Amino acid sequence: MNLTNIYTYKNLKILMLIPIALMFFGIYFSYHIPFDTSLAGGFSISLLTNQSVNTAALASNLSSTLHVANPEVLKSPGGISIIIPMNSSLAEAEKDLIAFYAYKSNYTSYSFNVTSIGIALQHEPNNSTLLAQLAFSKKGLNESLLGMQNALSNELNALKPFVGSISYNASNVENMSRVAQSAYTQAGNVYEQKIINAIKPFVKFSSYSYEEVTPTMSSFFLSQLRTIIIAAFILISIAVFFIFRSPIPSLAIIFGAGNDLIIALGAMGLFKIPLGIASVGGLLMLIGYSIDTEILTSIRILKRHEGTPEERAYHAMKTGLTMTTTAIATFATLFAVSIIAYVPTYYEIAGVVLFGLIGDLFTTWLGNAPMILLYKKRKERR
Amino acid sequence: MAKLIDYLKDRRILSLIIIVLLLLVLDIFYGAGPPYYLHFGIEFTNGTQIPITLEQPVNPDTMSRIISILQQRVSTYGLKQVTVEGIGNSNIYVIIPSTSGKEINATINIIQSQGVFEGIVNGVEALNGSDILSGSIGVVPPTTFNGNVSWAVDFFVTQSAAERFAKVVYGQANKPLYMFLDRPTSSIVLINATLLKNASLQLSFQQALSALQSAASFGSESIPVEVYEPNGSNWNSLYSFFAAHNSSYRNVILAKNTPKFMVENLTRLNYSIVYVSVQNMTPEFEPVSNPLNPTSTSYIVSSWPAIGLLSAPLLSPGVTNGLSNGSLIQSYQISGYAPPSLPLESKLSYAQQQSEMIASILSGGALPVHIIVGTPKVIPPTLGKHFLYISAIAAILAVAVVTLIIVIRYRRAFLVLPIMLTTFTELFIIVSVIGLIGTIDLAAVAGMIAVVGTGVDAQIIITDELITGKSEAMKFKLGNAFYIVWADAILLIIAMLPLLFSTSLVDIVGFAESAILGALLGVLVTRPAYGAIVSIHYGEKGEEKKEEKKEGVV
Repeated sequence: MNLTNIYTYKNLKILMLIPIALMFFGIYFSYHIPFDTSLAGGFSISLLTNQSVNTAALASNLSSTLHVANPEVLKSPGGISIIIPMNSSLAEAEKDLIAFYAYKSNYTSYSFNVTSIGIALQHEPNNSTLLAQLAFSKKGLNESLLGMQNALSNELNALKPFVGSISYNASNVENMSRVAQSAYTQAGNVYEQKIINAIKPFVKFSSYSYEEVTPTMSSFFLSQLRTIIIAAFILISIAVFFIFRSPIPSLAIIFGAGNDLIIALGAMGLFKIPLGIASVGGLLMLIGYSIDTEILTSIRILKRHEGTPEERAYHAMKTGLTMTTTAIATFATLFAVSIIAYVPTYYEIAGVVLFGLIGDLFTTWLGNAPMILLYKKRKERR
Repeated sequence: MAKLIDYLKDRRILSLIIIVLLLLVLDIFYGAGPPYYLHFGIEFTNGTQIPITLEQPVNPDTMSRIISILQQRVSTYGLKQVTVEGIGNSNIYVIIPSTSGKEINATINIIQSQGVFEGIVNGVEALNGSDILSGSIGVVPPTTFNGNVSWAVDFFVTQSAAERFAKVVYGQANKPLYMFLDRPTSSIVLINATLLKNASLQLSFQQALSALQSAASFGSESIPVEVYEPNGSNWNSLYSFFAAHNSSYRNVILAKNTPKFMVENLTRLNYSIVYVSVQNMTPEFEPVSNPLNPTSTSYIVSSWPAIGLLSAPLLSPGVTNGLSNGSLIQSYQISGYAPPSLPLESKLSYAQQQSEMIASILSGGALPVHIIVGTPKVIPPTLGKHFLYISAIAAILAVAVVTLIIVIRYRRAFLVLPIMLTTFTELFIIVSVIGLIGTIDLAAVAGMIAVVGTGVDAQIIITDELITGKSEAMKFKLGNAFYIVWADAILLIIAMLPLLFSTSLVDIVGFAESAILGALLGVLVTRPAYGAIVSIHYGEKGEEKKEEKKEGVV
C-alpha cells in the first residue's frame, strides 16, 4: 500500500473539518431514523414462499382493509416480510385494560377493608373511628367499581370493530375481569386473522411467523435502549481516561467514539435503516470497537519512540486501515446477506456497524489522529 | 519450514487444541442430543414466545414469585421445556418449543387460568376459593418462641361459607383439612406400588393405601387409586377394572415412568393420559397421634401433587365445636411449626415458605398482580431452518472475506491456514460454550460474526508487528502488539457490559455474550496461538534472513 503521508501536511486542522461536517450531517439525519416494530409497536409477519409477489398491490390491499397508513412489504428470495403499524384501537384497548386492572386491585383491597371493619364493628358497634373508616372504604369501593365499569366500557368500545358488542354483568367483578381479558385476547386473534386474510389472495403459504409488540412494551424497550447506550458510553469514557491518564488524548478518543455513533445514526436516517432492539448490539459494538483504531494511533504516536510522530501516525494509519477495512468487509457481508435473505436482526446490527465504521475512517484518520499529533507537537515544543 | 511437532510443543497452541477437544467431548456427552446437540433459540428450532405484560411494575422479589408461579402452572399441566423469563420489571416471556395452535392456546389458557381451591374434610367440601374474601389472605411473619418457629396464614370467609364450614367440620377435631388446588375430576390414579412404601415411617402397604384413598375421597367425585406392581404381575386384574370403568372416567393420571404397555392399553380403552412427574406422583405421609388414644398412630397424606393435594393441616378443636358461643367464626388461621430438627436459619425460611405456599393455595395460585397476555410470536419450523441456513452461510462468508483481505494485504499464502484455523476454532468455542450453558439465537450468531470481523484486528496488529516490523526480537514485538490487543479487547468488553446485564432486552443479550466471549477468547487463547504459529513459522525464516543480511554487510 502506498499512500502519501497526509500527516506531513502543514495545516492539519483543515483535515478535521471533514469529520466535523459529517457530525452535523449525522445530527441532521438522525431525526429521520425509522423505528422498527420492537420500538414503534405494531405487527410483523414473515412468511416463506417462492412465488413472485406483487408487493405494491399487497401493501395497498393491507392499507385499505386494515385502515392503516404505510404498511411495509419487503421481498427477499425466500419469502416476504410485512410490517404494519400499531392499530390505534388495540393500543387504546390495552391502555383501558391496564386501567381496569389498576381499579380492580383497589377494589379488592377496599372490599377486604369493608369486611374486616364490619367484623370489628360487630364487637364495638359504636366505635366512631371504625365507622369513619367503613364509610371511607365504602366510598373507595364504589369509586373503584365505577372506574372498572368505565375502563371496561371504553375497552369494549375500542374493540367493537373486532369483536362486536359484548354484554357483561356490571355488578359482578369477576365476570367483568373475564370479559375484559377475553375481549382483548379475542380482538388480537381477530386482527391477526384479518391481516392473514388480506395477504392470502396475493401469496400462497402454509406457515407464517407473527409478532405483535404493544405500545407499553415498545416504549419500555426504547427507554431501556437509551439507558444501555448511555451507560456503555460513560463506562467506555472512564476506561479510556484510565488507560491514558491525560485529558486531551482521552477526550479526542471519546470524541471519536461519539462522532462514529452520530454518523451511524445519520446514515440510518438517510438510508432508512430501522432502529430496533437488535440495533443496540450494533451501537455498542460501534462504541467498543471503533475506538480500537483511535487507541492504536494514540498509543503509537504518544507512547512509542521510533521515527517521527508523523511517521508513526502514518504507520498506524496503514495498520488501522487494514483493520477497519476487514471489519467493514465483514459487516458488509452480513449486511448483504441480511438484505438478500431478509433477517431483520442481522440487518439492524450490520447496518449500524457498517456505516459507523465507514464514518470511523474519517473520524479517526482526519479527526482523531491530527488532534493527537498536534497535541504531541505542542507538548514537544514546550 | 517448521515441523508439525514444533507447533505442538508450543504451550499456547497446545492449550487451544486441548480446549477444543474438551468442548467437543462436552458437546457430545452433555449436549441436548440429536438433532441439535447444543441449545438453540426458537428462531432456529421453531417455537412460540408469548409476551405477558404486568398491570404495574413490580420489584424483583415479586417478579421472581410471579415467574415461579407461572412455571409451576405450566409444569403441573405436563408442558415440557417451557421457559418463563422476566423482562425488566413489568414484562414476562413464556417460551414453548412448539408451534401447534392447540398447544399455544392450551398454554395461554393455563397462564390466564386462576386455580380453583377446594378444602375437603372427611370426603365433604368444607371450603372453596369463592368462600374466601379476596384480599383477606394474610401471611403472618414467622415467630420464634423457645427456639421453635411457627408460621401462620390468616383469612376471612363469607358469612354463608362460615355457616357451611362450621357444619362440615363439626366433631372432626384433629382430622385433616385436605387442601386441593385444581383437583382433577373424572380421573383415576395409577400408582407404582413401590411409592406406597415408606420405610422411615414404618408404614404398611395397607395403611398407605387407605391413607391415599381417604385423601382422594370426595363423595361421587372420589378419585379411585389403583396400584400396579412394577413387574406387571397384577396388570390383568387392573385391566379389567379399567375396562369396566371407561364410561364413567375419562382420564388416567400416571407417572412418566409407567410401563409403556400399560399406557398403550389404557389409550386403547379410550382414556386420556395425564402425565405427572415421578416426584409429583410420590405422596408424602404424616403420622397423626390421636389425643384420646396416644398409643395408636394413624397416617394421613400431607401432600400428593398428582391429584392437586398440596397441604393437609389438622383442624383444631376450637373450630370443630360448632356454634358453641352463638357467634359464627369468619376469620380463620392455618398455622404450624417448622420441623424442630432443623437449625434456626432453615426453620425461619421453612416457615416463610410454608406460609407463602398456603397463602398461594388459598388464593387459587393467584398471581400478585394482574397480567395481560399478548399475541404469541410464532416461528414456524421452515422459517427456523431458513434462519439457521442463512446464519451458517453468513458466518462462512465472513471468515472467507476476512481471510481474503489478510492474504491480499500481506501477500503471504501461508497466513490463510492459521487465520482460518484460529477463526474457526474461535467460532467453535463460542458456539459450544453458549450452546451448552445458554441459548444460541440470532443475536448470538450476529455477535459471533461480529467477533470474526473485529477479532481479526488482533491478528492484523500481531502480523504487522511481527512480519513487517524491523529489527527487534520476536518476543518484544509480540509483547508490544499484545498491549494494544488487550486494550482493545477490554474496551469492547466494557462497552458490552450494560447489555450483558440487561434484564430487559433479552432478545439481544446473546450478542453481548458472543462478543464478550469472543474478545476474551481472543486475548487469552486464540490470538496467542495465532501469534505462536506465525512467530514459529516466520521466526525461523526471519532469523535466517537476518543472518544473511549481516553476512552481506560484512
